[in-house]
Amino acid sequence: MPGIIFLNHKDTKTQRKPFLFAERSSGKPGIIFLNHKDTKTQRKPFLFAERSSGKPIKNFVSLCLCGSHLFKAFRNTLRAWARDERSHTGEVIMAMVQPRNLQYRVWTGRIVMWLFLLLILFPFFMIISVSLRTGNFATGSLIPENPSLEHWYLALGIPWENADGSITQPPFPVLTWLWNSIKVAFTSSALILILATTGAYAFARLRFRFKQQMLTAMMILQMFPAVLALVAIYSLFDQIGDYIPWLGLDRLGSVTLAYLGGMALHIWLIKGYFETIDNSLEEAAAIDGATPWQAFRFVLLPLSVPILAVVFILAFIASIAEYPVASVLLQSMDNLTLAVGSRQYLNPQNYLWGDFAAAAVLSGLPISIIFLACQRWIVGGLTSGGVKG
Amino acid sequence: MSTARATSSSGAYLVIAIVAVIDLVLLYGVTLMYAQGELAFAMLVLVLAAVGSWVVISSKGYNYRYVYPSLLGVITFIVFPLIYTVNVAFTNYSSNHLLSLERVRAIHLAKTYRTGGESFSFKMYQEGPSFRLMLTSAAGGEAHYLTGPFTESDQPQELKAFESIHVPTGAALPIREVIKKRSTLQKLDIVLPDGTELAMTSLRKFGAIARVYRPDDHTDRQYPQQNLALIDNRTEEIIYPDMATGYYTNEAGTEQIGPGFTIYTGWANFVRVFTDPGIQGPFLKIFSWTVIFAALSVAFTLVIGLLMACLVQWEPLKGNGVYRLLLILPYAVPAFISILIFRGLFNQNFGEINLLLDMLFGIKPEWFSNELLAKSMVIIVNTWLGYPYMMILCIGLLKSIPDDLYEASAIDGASPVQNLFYITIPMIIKPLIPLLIASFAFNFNNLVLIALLTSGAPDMLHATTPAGTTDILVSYTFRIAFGSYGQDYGLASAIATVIFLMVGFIAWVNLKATRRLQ
Repeated sequence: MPGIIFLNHKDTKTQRKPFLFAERSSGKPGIIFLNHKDTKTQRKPFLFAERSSGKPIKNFVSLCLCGSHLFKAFRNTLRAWARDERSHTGEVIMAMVQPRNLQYRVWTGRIVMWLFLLLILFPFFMIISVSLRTGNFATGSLIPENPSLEHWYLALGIPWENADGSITQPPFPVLTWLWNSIKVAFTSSALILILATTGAYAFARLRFRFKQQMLTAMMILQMFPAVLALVAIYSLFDQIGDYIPWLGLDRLGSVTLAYLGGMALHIWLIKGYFETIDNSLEEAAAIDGATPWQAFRFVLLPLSVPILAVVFILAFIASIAEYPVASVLLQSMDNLTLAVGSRQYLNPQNYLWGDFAAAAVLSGLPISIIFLACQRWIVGGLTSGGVKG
Repeated sequence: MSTARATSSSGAYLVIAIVAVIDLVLLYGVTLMYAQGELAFAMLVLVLAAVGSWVVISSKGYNYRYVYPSLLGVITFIVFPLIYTVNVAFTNYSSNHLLSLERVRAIHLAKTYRTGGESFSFKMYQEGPSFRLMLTSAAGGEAHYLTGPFTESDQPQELKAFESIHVPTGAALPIREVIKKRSTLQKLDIVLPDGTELAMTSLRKFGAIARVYRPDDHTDRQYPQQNLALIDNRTEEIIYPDMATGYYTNEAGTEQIGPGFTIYTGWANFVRVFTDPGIQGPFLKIFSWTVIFAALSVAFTLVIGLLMACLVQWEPLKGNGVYRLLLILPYAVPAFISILIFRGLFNQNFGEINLLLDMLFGIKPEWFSNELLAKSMVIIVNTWLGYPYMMILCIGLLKSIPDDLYEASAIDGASPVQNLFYITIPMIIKPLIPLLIASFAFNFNNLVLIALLTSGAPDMLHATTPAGTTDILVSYTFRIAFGSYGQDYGLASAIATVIFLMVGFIAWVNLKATRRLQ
């Protein structure tokens, strides 16, 4: 009869308590509990005695007690036993490690998590609270005493009538900035997507010389951020602007174009995805007379929509959040992107903390929601070898 | 895959025709650029156009067609700016040396001075959209001069004036209106019938002026750049472009006449970085802070990210999905918004953090003016910003660890801490290393954080260039190049070049680490 043997021995060498073991006396394989005590004997459960055949497992106890260096052998024995049992009964044996003090641990874990979350989310609670306070220098508790929508009106570009009848004009064109950011981000991400997809297709499927070298070069180049070449970017667009005005300084066109430099990373991402797709479909299409372009356009692309969406969103978010290039290229108030413009709120000379809070929540919210909605895919994309952008 | 194509011959001709048209337009552009002296641009466009045409037309280049657009993008937007930056590092390009020699010469030739001759008071008459001036000699007399009509403009205008006894039709503008038009008036160059030139000398007067310089026609003089030399009309002194300093100087070399022009200065900028005590001191301090900052950021984000990943993956906790979502939140909000939020929260007088600390402990730390506090603030904020990324990576890697390892360790009676150090970390460290190096490189160049949070504050003393104690190398470069005190693009590019080498080294290490992984 199979059964549980409770042992309360310590290993003579390591002074460790013997560990787990399983099997119910019913003869069915079962869950292995660790560190539980037997309700009757108050002994810790321990090792297993015999197989369902009734034949004892050879040297089992000694294996267990010998400690970890023989562990592998023991595990294999246990597995083999489990396999046998499964084939007999069709049930799965689960080894569950259930520490005796699990409840305490779970609660410790929860409290740690809650405290950490409180600390981490503090800025968000605070900024929402600040955006509802009256005036720019108001201090107070987390829940404002006399909430007002003043900052929200101003952030939305609506003049606000104060209690004394005077009118406050919106300090900055936040919605224009947001629209600028969206225009730039949308165009540059679309261009990045087109260029990166075709490039990735070639790297994943076609054969040509210097392929490996080009890939390595891209890997290295994506580590050089545009920040390092700001002088060159500024000077280049200054000169291009003499010939093509809409690509000159203080134009959104130049910023859009400058953002295309973020492409190298995305080529790697898409290439990785293409390589996970079996190319037998494309080969079949080629045999039917499809050109590489047709195989790419009608076979591969429809299969890769998820990664294309991820790359688009990643590029979009990266462009929205980009600060250095935009701050150098853009100058006039109405042409700024959100990232550059937001800074104007916290000038020491003109400190608009409350107005900033409302504008920050207003502009941060849509982007955060997009990110969270797509986080599953973005996380997948990032884990496959991305760099924080 | 074969390169068999189902292109009809008429289609092929169409492609060739389109390529030819595009090439023609580009060639025209190249010629224009070459004529303008933009050699680097011309070369770049020429090479790219030639390669592009070959790729589209030749059947051998078929496979390159798909790579070409993206390569074009990478070359134009990453490689070319890098090369350009290195090139600028060897020049004195700065706010004092912004223009080319030819442009500077033209500016010198346009300079004028008051000759001290007769001065004229003027009245401004409006005739529709255009204006006229009536100039009356201060010495008195019947006759006065009338100018031709002119319009408002911000470009210099040359006007002929003629003697007349008539008064123009239309009304004379009051002085208030004249003051409003002064930017136009200041650019006027009025030529009297006798050839005297007049320019505005005060709000009510025009006075005689003359060119300061004239080109030097003599070709037998022995000094460098003799064909570009100028002669001062007042003193007959010769000035010539000094190719060592980037200024026009007099023959004795004692006086430099601005504006300067851009010249190649060789290794001068690099020498300055490593020997000028006002730059070298801050540079070394900033360099070590950059390394410490990047290393600490990676370390803290990794520790917190890994712990949180383990916690959030721990099934008995329940509600793991919600926790994960909340923990990722700092990453979902665009960094520039969170950084600015922290800038406000850490504000010494109005910031909520100090209000809280004041309430609890009665302290109000000077987060932006104390060096140590500012540095800790930068790291705290960066840890807050960066741990979700590490957590995301760790969650992915934790999932790939086979469960039976933990099963086995449980059988062996291991504690959670032992699990972490003997199973989890050894299992994920290898794939994590390239990502950690990339994260180090990212933080090494994390300009956004520094520029938006502290702008480098508090400032270092004894630095000849603006340098702050929380500045990292890129933000230091950024301030030298685009700061509010005189922009030194050459020096900034030299430092950027040094950073290239460092980033290149990091990238190389990363590549080795990735290779070892495969």
